Amino acid sequence: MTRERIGLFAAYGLEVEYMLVDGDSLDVAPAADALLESVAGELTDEWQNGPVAWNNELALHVIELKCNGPRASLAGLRLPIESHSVQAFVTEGVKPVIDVVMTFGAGHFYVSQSDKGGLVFGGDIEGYNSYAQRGNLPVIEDVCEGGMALMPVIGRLRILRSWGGLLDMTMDGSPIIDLTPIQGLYLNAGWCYGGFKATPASGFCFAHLIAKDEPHKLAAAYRLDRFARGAVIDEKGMGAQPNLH
Amino acid sequence: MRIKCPYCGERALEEFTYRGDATVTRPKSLDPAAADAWVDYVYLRDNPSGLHKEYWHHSAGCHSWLVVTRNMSTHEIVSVEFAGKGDSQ
Repeated sequence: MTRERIGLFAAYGLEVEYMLVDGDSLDVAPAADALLESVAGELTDEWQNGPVAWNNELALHVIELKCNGPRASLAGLRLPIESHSVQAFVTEGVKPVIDVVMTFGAGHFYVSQSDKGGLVFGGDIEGYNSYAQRGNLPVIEDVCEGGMALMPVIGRLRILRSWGGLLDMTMDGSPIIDLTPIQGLYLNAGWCYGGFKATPASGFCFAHLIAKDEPHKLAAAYRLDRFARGAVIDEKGMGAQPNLH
Repeated sequence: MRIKCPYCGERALEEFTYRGDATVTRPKSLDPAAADAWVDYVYLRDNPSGLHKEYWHHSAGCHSWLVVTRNMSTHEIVSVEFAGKGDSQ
């Protein structure tokens, strides 16, 4: 069997596991064991909480929440989320030309330059539901038009490769950090085509939600029921459809 | 991805505008008691990874509204039909 290196974001469905350790000694910290013992009343590696199990999968690992068996849906839970695709592109390497991440809001194009010199850029989502991890030609044309409008200097660069990634698009273009109707199941989803830079803050708010069973004040607007309440987070007033955001 | 319009034949994707999920049903009632059904219709989705039905508008063609059955994981289009029965003549 040959081993193959897989780059970050190149594979889906792989789980990265790590242990909580003491910062000085690197001794494993039994935080997950302590939490499971506090809810189950005895030392255990798993606690059943309705249709969801809290599991200490790897020794003294962080807690993993999982379904008890394959499910088509979780107790009829339907979400205001659709899976869409967005493409990204890399050009051949050139000398330093861009030292920032540049965003062109009016045309929707963004570009940065990698350490190897290639320009990395993208733009609008494909606009239709997809799990295919690839896109189609019309959006490539649209993205390149946006690039040419912003900086015609890149017009003669050749594109080396492109790929499509999945996006969990909500109906108002903003994420959801909230409890669900299923006890023990928490939701931090719908980050659309953003969210990478928000990860520390969203993780902090999500931890607060799980620990206290109520939203952190910074995430108080990101409720699952905001759609039913008419309290959608209206970024542009575009409407209830993922490809409008 | 190319869509075979039942009226115009196979055309490129940029001739079409995506509307979305064709499996949800617009509630008939405007009664406040039907609010849950409206939330369901406007916002909540099954979001399947296999075959799915969706509305496309042939906006740069014959202006027909179409129901396209498409595989979400491969983009393979299984069938294209007129959304309204009256369009089929």
